[in-house]
Order: sequence, then structure tokens, then C-alpha cells
Amino acid sequence: MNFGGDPILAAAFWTGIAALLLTLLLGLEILRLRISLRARQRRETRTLARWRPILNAAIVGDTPHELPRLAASERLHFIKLWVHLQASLRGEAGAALNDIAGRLGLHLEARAMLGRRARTERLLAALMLGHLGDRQAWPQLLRLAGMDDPTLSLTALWALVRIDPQAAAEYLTPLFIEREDWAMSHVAGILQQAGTPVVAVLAGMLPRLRAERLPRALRIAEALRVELPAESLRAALASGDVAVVTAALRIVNTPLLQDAVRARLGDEDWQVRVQAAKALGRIGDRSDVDRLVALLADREWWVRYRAAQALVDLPWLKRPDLAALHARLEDRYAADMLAQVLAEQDAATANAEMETA
Amino acid sequence: MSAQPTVLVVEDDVHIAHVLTFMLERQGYQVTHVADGRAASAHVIGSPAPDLVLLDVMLPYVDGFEIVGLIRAQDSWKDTPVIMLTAKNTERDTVRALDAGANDFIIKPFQPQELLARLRRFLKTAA
Repeated sequence: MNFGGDPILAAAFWTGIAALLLTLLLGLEILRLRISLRARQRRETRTLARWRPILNAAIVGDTPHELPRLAASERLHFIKLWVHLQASLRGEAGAALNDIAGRLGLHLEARAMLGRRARTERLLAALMLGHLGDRQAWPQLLRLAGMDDPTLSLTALWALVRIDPQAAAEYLTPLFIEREDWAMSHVAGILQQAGTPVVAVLAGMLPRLRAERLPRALRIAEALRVELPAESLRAALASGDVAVVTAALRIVNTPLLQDAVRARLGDEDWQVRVQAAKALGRIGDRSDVDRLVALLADREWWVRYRAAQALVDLPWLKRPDLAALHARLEDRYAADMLAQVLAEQDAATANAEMETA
Repeated sequence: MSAQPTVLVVEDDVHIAHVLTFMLERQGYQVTHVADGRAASAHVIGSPAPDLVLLDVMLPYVDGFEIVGLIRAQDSWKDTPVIMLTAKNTERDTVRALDAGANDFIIKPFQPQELLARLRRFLKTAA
């Protein structure tokens, strides 16, 4: 190629050629991706057309005696459909789907998928093994649960709970208390499936936990709505740590702890007083009316507000009792707060009546 | 009621819609499926009432609560039994569904046999 010895002209020419080649390569890559996508979509359509009637029949209790062979190219699409159906159905339908997967040897395939690098395959495998309750996948799922990827690890933890709630509760509860980076909603969602074993594990752990871990443990108990033994909570209520005391007050639900709660009504920290007022609204007796009335004159707005709500929620204080109580209040702030909460209650009742009508 | 009871299924999840259609057709019901709230609204306004409506709560464009309200506002549809499909842990949705005029609700994930039993109860009453 002769450019008359002009290097700028030569550079421009070769740059143009290179750009043209790159554009062609890019075009070819887009074409390849589109062809591959179309082929994948066709495979998926074929898989669904072949397997959907079989799975649907199994779901309604009509499992075929002989199953066709599941081709390697169909496996991933089949597992996606299977997992989706498992998540949407329960009871005998789930057992029928498990039976089909077992007969196709998919528990072996799913265990192999757990060891692969593709994230989607690992996720699908963990979900499938969880639904199958595959005990042999436990060590692999434990390894996956320890990974940094939160989606992978939480899915693996979910599968562990499905496989063995008791063992999972013993393993997961300390882990969930430790891992503050995992969202409470996810943690609670997974532990809820473990059910009663979690209560025993949590109760056993509380006395041994370091103070900095106690608030999260108590928040987990609150999210799961589990009732911890009174003795475990009594120690937490006597703690010098505000976070521990407030977390314990939020879940107190037994009259056995009335005195421990009353002792916190005069706490220096207003957040403790707020939670103590709320707790007394749940577990208090008639003698606590005067204590809550005293809190209506607290220097903090939130304490006055929660004390008024606690009074209004006491089952033995009817509307005329509350009106009489309001009339007796000498403190202006206390009277205003009780009047506000009574008005809120009236508005809520009126809204509920309108919705019912 | 026609010889074959008719059921309108309003469900946006294609896999679940297939399961429901399969189950109902196997029981001898004639099924019409619509996949979103807008299509369901158009169907309610422009078509004769079926013997029963199976209605998902979460739908694109128009939700199930609005559709059940629309059903109750149409003269020819207002007595049609409506069973709503609500998600687990959404007690509020269940109350809203009943308040909006649904006759019953099924919680997802659901048991196919339970769903069929509930359906039969309403279709027997209609017969």
C-alpha cells in the first residue's frame, strides 16, 4: 500500500481498517448471541411442551408409570419449571413433584450442579435440594451457606432448614446472630420455617451470649414472635446496656416479668421508658394504671404518647373510665396526650366501620 | 348453568395458569384464561358471566380487588362466585378480598385438591 510516505495517511488508513474489522466482529457476536438466544428459547418451549403435561398430571395425582428420558439440553429448563411449581404448590402436589424428580435422578444432578461455577445453576440446585429434602447434600449446602454472595448463601440456608429444621436451627441461629449484614426480614423468613427448634436454641444461647450480640438475638426472637422463657428475659431486663433492655422490653409478654418491667419505668434513658410503657400495656394489671398515668407527664413526648396508648389498650379501662381519668388529670401535657390518643382511637373505629359498610 | 360449568381464571403467572387450566379442564369445567387485570376488566364488561371466577390478587395493570369490585358492579356478574388467590402471610389482603366482595380465598402456595373442593362447593350451590 503506497501512502506517498505520509505516516499520518497510513495511520488513518489502518485505523479505519481496524474499526471496520471490529464493527464486523461486533456484528457477528450480536448475531451469534441472537441465534443462541433463539435456540435456547426453542429448547425451552420444546421442554415445556413435553414435560408440562406430565408435571400437571402428577400434581393432580396422576403420575405416569413410565417417564420419558430427560435430555441433557432439557435439564435446566425442566428444573426451573419444577422449582417454580414447587414454590407455588403444597401438600400432595409437592410430594408428587418430588417423586418425579427422584425418578429422573435429579437429586444427583442437583448435587453436581452445586459444585459448578454458574451461579444460576447453583441457585436452582440449592432450591431443588431443599424441596427434595436431600440429606446427602447437607455438607455441600453448608459450604455454599458460608459464601460471600448473600443470595447464594441465604438460598443454601433456606435449603438446610427445609432438609433438617432441628439441625439447621442449631447451626443457623448462632450464625444469624453473628451476621449483622444479613437483613432481618430474610433471617426471620428462613428461621420461621425451622419452627419450634429455634425457640429452644435461642433460649439456650441467651445466657451465654456476649452483651453486644444480645440485642440482635432478641430482635430475631421478636421478628419470629417467639416467647422466650421468663428467666432468660429477666436477665436481659436487668442489663445495664440500653440496647439489650429495649430489645428485651419489646418482646416481654408474660405477667411473670411485671416487676422487672416496672423497675424500668423510671429509667434515665427515654427509649427504655417508651418500651417499658408499651410492655406494661401488654402485661400490666390494675395497679399499673397509676404508673402509666404518671408517665403521661413525662418530659419526653414519645413516652407520654406510648403511656397514653398503653392506657387506652388496657382491656379493663372502658371509655367512661378513660373519660373520667382524663377529667382528673391536672397536668396539661398529660391531658392533651390522652385526649389525642382517644381521638386517634375514635378515628380508627370510624374508618373500620366505614370499610365494613 | 350450561352442561359444562364455566370458570374464568385470571392469573398472570403462566405456569400456574397452565396448572389451573389443566386441573379444571380435567374436572370437566370449561376454562377461559386471561393473564392481566386490564384484559380481565375488558372481559368482565364485554362478556357473559361464567359460573365462577378464580382471581389472583396481584395482577399487572389492575389488581384483583378492583376487578372483584367491577364484577359486583355488573348486573349480570354480580352474583357470580369469586374465589381469590392471595399470597401467604398477607392476612390484610385476605380481609380486603372478602371486604371487596370475594366469596372465598385460597392462600398460595395452594393445594390443588383443596382448591378443587372449594370450587365444587360453589358450583354445586349454583347448580
